[in-house]
Amino acid sequence: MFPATMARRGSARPSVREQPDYPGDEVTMAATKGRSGVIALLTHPSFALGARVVLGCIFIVASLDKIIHPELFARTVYNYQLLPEVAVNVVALWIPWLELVAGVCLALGLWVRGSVLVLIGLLGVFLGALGFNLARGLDVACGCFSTRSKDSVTALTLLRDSLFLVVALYLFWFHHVRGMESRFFLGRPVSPTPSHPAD
Amino acid sequence: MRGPVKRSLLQALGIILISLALGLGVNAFRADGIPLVERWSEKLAQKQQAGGFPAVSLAETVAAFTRGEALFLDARDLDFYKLGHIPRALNLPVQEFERVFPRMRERLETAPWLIAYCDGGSCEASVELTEKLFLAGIDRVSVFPGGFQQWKDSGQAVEQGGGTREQQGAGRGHAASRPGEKSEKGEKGS
Repeated sequence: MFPATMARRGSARPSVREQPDYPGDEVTMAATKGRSGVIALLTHPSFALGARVVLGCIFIVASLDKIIHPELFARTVYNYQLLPEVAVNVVALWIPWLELVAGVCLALGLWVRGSVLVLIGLLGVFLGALGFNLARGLDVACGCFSTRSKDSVTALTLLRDSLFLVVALYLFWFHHVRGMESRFFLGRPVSPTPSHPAD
Repeated sequence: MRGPVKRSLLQALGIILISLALGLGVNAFRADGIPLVERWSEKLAQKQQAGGFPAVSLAETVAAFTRGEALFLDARDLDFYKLGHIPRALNLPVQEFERVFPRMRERLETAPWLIAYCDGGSCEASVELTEKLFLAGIDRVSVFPGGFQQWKDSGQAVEQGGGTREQQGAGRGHAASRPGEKSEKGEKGS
């Protein structure tokens, strides 16, 4: 077992250890021990830390150009032809900062669970918007990483965002379903690394 | 709701609110902020009217005029210019561009922002002028598609007659000396 996994919550409420909030724990832990190397990898806190930092940085990078050029990004949002005209600018001002704040939180390990939820929501919206316009044959600039490039939306764009979504869902699974706290990068020095090897 | 789930949702809500506040707050303070609500369809129609060059609305034109941010270029013939133009606008008729432009080149090159206009409606002189300036290496030019008509109709100040030495030269083919212009240049140079 990973006693330290629960240590942060457990320290305040020792009884938590006895009431498994996350029943999946027992199963995956067992698998970790024996059979599956994949699960061992996916449940490894360093792997989750890596995924978290990479996804966070991707969102930080994606947000910057849109924050620097609000007018161009608003134009891109308008071109998607999904929002009423009055909502275009507010959404265009808000989305890049949402990407930035959630990306920074994720990369630094602050409010990890909340930021994972936000990024899953964002990626869901992006995939929906991209897929909808691709399906109706509207050739719009993606505006995903740069407001200036005229990159059209293609199936590859969808594939890329789907990949990001898979990573985000993995982090959701890691943090929400398994209830793991991943190793913090900055901030609280909590680590789920087993302080006592499983016995 | 379970504690951890509730906590996660609260965190997500916190991130949403913080980012919204940052987005709107930063926009309110930055110089190139955008309006919260914009009539995009109108704006893009205007832009199309401006031949793909940046277009400015009446409100933006008035603001630029009031703050003295832009130098206005009247792309119409001198006769129309004399009948009335945006105050302090320079007359650079598109038909006489090759002859007049060299005389005001320096002034146009040093201006931080230029706004070209013509009559308004379907006039094309301002777009043609902007194209010529662009080809001459001056690309900080916006087009005011509403033109002089919209300017006048909205009750803005109108200046009549005259013009500067360059413009006099444009209409008559010679450079008429004007003391006022000279002193202005002198101040500028010092």
